[in-house]
Amino acid sequence: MHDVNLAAEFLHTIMPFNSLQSGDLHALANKLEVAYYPQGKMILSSNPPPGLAIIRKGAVRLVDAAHKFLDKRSEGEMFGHQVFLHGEQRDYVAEAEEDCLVWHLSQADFEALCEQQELISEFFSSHLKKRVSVAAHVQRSVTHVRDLLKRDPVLIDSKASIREAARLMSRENVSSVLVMREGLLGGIVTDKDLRQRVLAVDLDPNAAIEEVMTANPRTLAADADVDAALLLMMRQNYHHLPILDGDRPLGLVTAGDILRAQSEHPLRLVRDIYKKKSVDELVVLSRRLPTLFVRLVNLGRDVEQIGCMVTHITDAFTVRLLQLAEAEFGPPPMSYAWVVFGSQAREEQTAKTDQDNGIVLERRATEAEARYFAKLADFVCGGLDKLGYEFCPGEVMALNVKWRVSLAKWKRHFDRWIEVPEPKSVMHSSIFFDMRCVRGNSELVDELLDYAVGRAKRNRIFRRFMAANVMSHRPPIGFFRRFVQEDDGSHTEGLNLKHRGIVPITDLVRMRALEAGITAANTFRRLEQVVAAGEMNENDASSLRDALILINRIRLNFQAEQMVAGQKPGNFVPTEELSPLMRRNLKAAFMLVVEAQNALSSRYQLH
Amino acid sequence: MRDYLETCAALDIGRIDNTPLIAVDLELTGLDKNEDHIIAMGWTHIDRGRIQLGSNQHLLISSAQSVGSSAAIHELMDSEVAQGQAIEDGLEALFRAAWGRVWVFHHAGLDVSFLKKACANWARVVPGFIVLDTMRIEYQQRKRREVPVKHGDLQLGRIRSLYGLPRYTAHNALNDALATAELMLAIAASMESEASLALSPHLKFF
Repeated sequence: MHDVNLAAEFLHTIMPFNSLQSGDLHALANKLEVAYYPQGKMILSSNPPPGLAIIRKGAVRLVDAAHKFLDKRSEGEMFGHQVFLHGEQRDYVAEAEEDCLVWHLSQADFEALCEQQELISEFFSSHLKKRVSVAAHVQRSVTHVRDLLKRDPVLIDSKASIREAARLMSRENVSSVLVMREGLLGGIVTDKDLRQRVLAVDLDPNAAIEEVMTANPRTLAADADVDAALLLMMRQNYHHLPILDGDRPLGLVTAGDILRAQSEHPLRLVRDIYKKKSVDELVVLSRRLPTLFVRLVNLGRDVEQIGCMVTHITDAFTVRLLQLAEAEFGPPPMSYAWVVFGSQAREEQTAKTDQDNGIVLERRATEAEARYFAKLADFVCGGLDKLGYEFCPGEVMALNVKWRVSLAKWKRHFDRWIEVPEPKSVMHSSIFFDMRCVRGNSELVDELLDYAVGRAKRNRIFRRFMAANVMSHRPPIGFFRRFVQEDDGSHTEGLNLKHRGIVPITDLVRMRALEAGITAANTFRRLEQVVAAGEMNENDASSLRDALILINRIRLNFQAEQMVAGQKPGNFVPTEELSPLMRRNLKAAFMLVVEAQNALSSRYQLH
Repeated sequence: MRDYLETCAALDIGRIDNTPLIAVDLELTGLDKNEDHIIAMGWTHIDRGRIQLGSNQHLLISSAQSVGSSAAIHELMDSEVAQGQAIEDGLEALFRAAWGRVWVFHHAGLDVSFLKKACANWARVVPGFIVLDTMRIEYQQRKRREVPVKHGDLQLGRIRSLYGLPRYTAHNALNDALATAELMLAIAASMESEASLALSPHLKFF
């Protein structure tokens, strides 16, 4: 208790100093000078560089030479460094808006600090987007697959016989062996391969092992994180992944290794889902979701991957319900696709989520066929509701006969929205552009998406309406004490992180994807592809990506806390529960989104 | 001690931004200077009107006497106090740090009486102290503005909150010395706005 250093403790709550080791933090604290400025007093001018100033208490306003207001800084925020406003470096004078306690770091000490600490240097030397990016990184903690490796890999030459390989595996007591060809990994052979590709087909055990190996298996680098391995295994249904250090095999990770590393596990849950034989059994299983979600968040997992995993579980429940329904009602009378919309389509689900889905039929259904799909939809949507995926308030569900139609009819829906756009239908249609097939004939969905996105891309009037819709969800511009500052100057107590933070970004990125004719739904993939198509520069894309990660990380943490407290997870956060660090990071992230929105708005001349 | 006494005579006292200060707080086993002991000292320097966080010092002083019920206030236990240094070493460090500086206390009378008593035992000298007492200055300011002062109004935390200073929950000699130093800056700033920044009228000699 007596070692508590008040200064170091406060610094630790401030970005970017929270990235410092404790020793460096104390050394920094020892260089600080504390000054007090009564309200109205001029504190410093940005030129020549006055060193860094940290507000310990109070508020400071930055004004330009003509005394015009530029920005306001409050407790835990900084000034004295280079300040960029709207992408432009500005000279300013800082004055106390309230009585202030300010910590000063001399220019010489500030420069020395930036020289020693790259992360801190990045934070100050540049612009808002770098800052958000640093924030998004600091919050991420990763476990590497390297940490899961327990033993050296068992290797065998590709020319060795099958018998030799089997003996080696018995001696080493392993269920798989890596096959090396000219010093490089050539393939993998598992127990199952020996059973299916050798014994079951009477192959001569003197044949070379390379005859029966799985050639060029999917591998991962040793510094990939565990979640990447997990996702790959979940998506592709792999059970063994060779891990490489450069070209050299380091070992093998099995699904079991990951399962053993953690008791509650998405992969295990997905497996269990496919074993259940009734809706009631699935309901019991779905009770494990909250614990799993809290674990994923608390382990500090990557935001993008949490979204994927949570969505993957929803997908698994959906597919399993469809399998159960088909088992009960018989095989479908024609080819169809079960599609999902919104966050499930984007693979960005979090704790609170309702269902948005529909059916694309191969052709117009007869009355009997229509009855089959009505029963199917009733079973699956009803089942999802029981599992906690509540009915969609807008009734965008397969349960609604309007969203259970043929491919041709779906196309006509899109025609109407795109050809005769009006604000309401545009808003309505945006949800349908986030579309993904989870079961059935995915070609129907590909065709529909190509058609819809193609039309949207060609129709500038429709896109202008969409752009106007994007502009209707603006992030708040800042924080002031207990309040969030709205665009119109009013204040609210609290913040809907989904509507004010996430939706503006996903709307904007969808818009940019439509312009580029991209059909992917996931926001991160859309950004990659928009950049690849040359429609957005890498800088702008990474700003939006980092802002999304940052806002979502805060939202996920809140939802996890709410669930731990036994509350229903939501999207609304009372402002007093935002730490000063979160406020500052959110403020920076919102600024980036507003900049991107403004760029869009001027391109469509919406001012 | 002799060094210290010599610098006292030469102190050049002007405005807060050109007078070196040292803000000090002591933790005591009780309020009676003949019965009770100093068990911790904390201090920090103020130069050019700014607190120098690098000068922060916190010392535990060993005491033969049990901390008894005073542990409830300073949260120091006998076992911790036993690991402290001898009072003589503590005083030497303190007076070296105070060399050429005006003392700043909140409620100086109590702490100064303990320091005098300890010095008498240590150096066989009872030094004089040139002191700024934040409690007394605040009291005089209020009296001059005819603001009534009630019991408890002059506690360090209460006055600090009036000046918009943060609340510190962790109590120890160093944090209280820092809290006193910050209050000194705030009071000086408020006097500046009344065009009476000079410190000399507020000095007190013990």
